[in-house]
Amino acid sequence: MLNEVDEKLKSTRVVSYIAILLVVLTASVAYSDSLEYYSYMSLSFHMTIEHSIFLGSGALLATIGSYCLQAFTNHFSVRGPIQLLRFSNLTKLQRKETITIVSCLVASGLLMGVWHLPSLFAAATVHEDLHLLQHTSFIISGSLGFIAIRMMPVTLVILSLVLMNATMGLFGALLVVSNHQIFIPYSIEGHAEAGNVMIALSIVMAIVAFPAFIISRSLGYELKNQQNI
Amino acid sequence: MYRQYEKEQGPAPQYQITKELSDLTLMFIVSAIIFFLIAGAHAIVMRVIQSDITLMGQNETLTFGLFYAALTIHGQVMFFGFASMLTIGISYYLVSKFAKKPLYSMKLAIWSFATLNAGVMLLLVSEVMLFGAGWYNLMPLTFIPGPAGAGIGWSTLSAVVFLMADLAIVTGMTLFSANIIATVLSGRIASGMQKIEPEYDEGHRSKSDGEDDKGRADTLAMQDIPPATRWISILGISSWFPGRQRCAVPAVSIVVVGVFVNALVQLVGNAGAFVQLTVGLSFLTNPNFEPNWLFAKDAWWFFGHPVVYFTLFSFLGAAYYYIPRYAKKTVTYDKWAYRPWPFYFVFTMLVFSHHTFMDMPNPAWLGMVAQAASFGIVFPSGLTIMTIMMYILRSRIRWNITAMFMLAGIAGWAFGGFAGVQTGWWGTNIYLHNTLNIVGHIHLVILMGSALLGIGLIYSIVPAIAKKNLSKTLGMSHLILTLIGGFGLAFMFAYLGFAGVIRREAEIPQQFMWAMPWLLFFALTVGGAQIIFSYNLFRTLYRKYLTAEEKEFFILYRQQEGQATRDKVPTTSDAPISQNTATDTA
Repeated sequence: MLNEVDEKLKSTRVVSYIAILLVVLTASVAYSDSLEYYSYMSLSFHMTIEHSIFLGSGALLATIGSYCLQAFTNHFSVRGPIQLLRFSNLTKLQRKETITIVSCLVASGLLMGVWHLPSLFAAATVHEDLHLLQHTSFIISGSLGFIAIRMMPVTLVILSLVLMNATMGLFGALLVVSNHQIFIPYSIEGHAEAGNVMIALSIVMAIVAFPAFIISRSLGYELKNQQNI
Repeated sequence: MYRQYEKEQGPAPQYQITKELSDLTLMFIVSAIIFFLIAGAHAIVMRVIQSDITLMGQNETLTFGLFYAALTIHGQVMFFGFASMLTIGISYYLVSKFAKKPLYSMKLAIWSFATLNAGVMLLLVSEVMLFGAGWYNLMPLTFIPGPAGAGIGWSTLSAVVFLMADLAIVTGMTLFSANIIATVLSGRIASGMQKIEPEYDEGHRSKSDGEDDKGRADTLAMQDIPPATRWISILGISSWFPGRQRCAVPAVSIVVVGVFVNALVQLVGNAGAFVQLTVGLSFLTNPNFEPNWLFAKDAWWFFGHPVVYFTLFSFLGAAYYYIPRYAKKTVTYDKWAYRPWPFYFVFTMLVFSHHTFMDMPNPAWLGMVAQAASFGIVFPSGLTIMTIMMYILRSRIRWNITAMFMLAGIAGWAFGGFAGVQTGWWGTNIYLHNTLNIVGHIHLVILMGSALLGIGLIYSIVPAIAKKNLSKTLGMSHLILTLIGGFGLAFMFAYLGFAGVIRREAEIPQQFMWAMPWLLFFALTVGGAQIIFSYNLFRTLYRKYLTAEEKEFFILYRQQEGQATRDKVPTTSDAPISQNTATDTA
């Protein structure tokens, strides 16, 4: 009985997750002209909304892809996350999976990072094909990151959240105090604004989102599953 | 004998740490003490240069280069060679003891030791080259040689050596943080403290013989805690839950919480040091690179403030366990011991920018956040101090060396904390920022705060590992001289700062020269105390005989393991360091 409820809950979560992402994606396509305009005008828009849209789209594609794969392959099995923290104890198969996770993370980071090299970023804003390639890279980066997250133990996902948050705050500080245009299309004021938004976001995530996530997951899911509560 | 042992050295869990770890802990402690003496010698050099003692006749200003080199290396070696080295060594020991599990990787631990030592030695090399840009490596001063003929100045090579030294140090600290985090997050861990939370009106009871103490890590079961639940447990968040939920979350030992929060905060903070070093090294390698020095400074303090707390948190976590035990109280699950830690975690990362109040190009709101965080961190700090005071209230505390050092450390940290809040206030900072008051504050927080807590733990941990007792008489001399010299030095600095004496200046205005002999006296007193301590420590570690008391303890200890042979009194070859399995008894 408990398992059935749990399964239903899982299905509901997956469906609502896909639905929300689809709505966001549809809205993005519908308002693409406006989004493009804001993206060109505001660095903070690019650093927050635009990144979220493209990375989210990548994650959505990866999710849909994985369910398609399940539908077409009968022997597709969902394994628990592997224990990345004990690499030497892993079986050969698990080591392969670990290498996949690390490769996905590295590739995702590189794809995201390389387009933020100031010269390449500037080129992408003036060259339409490069711009398209940049957005495609962000989507692929989102997919790869999402695949890695789904394969990683939750403990490490939480740790990554903390570290990424700090990185965002530090990068925000760079933009806040920048005395020249790092990303050429945007003004110095635009850089400062983006930095402020990123730092504020990282503080909110550290103080609100991070504890809310671990508390809700623990009380609402893990401890209930263990019938401790 | 058990009681005698606990009376003097204190209560650590019986869980056996590996021989490799106990050896490594001793190596960290020995390294830390050696660097403590070296860094202290630099303090004496500075005091001598600033006093009336003439070293160079008419050319006294030629010693100023040496002053700035000593200023730089004193700060860096004290922070990284002594305080951080001690923190890392003791944290490895504590986390293994109180989480009842081996470290995630001994190799990583050894690498952290090697890189940290290599870094500190490189620092000393840079000092020989008279590098003197300040311990905070204030760029772009790092790359600007001083005026010719003034006795001040350093080469680009010395700057490179200094940057490489810092790179090695931060790498070592990162390896440590990663190792601790992996140890705590992976596999099963000793937990279940929440089951022994007393009733609301029950309070802490005095224990009669220690046997009823269910709060010992030894009594905790090894459990595999689910991921998010593990996070809320090791950050102390679950202590804020209502009773029903709090009871459901397996709580780990408070010592593990302290060490984990320490490692996590530092791992995040290290990003700042890496950024600053990247900026500096990029500037050195690419002449066309136009660095943003303000960003480099912000990034440094993003690392530099957490590193102050880095030397404190592990020891505070330990104080929550050791002090109630010395106060003969049962160590139960005390929610007030866990409650400060989520706040420490958040505020330590936010508070860094109060170091940059004077850098006006920073956005004003960052300063406001810094000021709010400076006040905010008073809450967990006050909570810690009040909780520890409550452990002592109406207790029959055993005033042994460790207990006295730890309580003196709490007092020093409290005084330093007051001074910190004072200078962390934007308006006050304008007046005090560039004065010796800041030097007073940092000496209170580090020398009379975390260093005393750490030294107190050495008096407890070394005998537990080596099975040989340090001399109590020498220990008392060490304590008394350190307190006189340390508090004298720190309060004198604080006073001179209020009077307006500028810091980071080799030359002191004539009207304040009266204070220099006093500062030299206090510095020599602290230095003398540490020489006594070093003698006590090294004599204990290397002496080739055991006292009657130690022999008795050794037999009892072997009996406990089922290996006792009363007819074979241990000889030197059984000497604890080489043979020990590093268990403690209590």
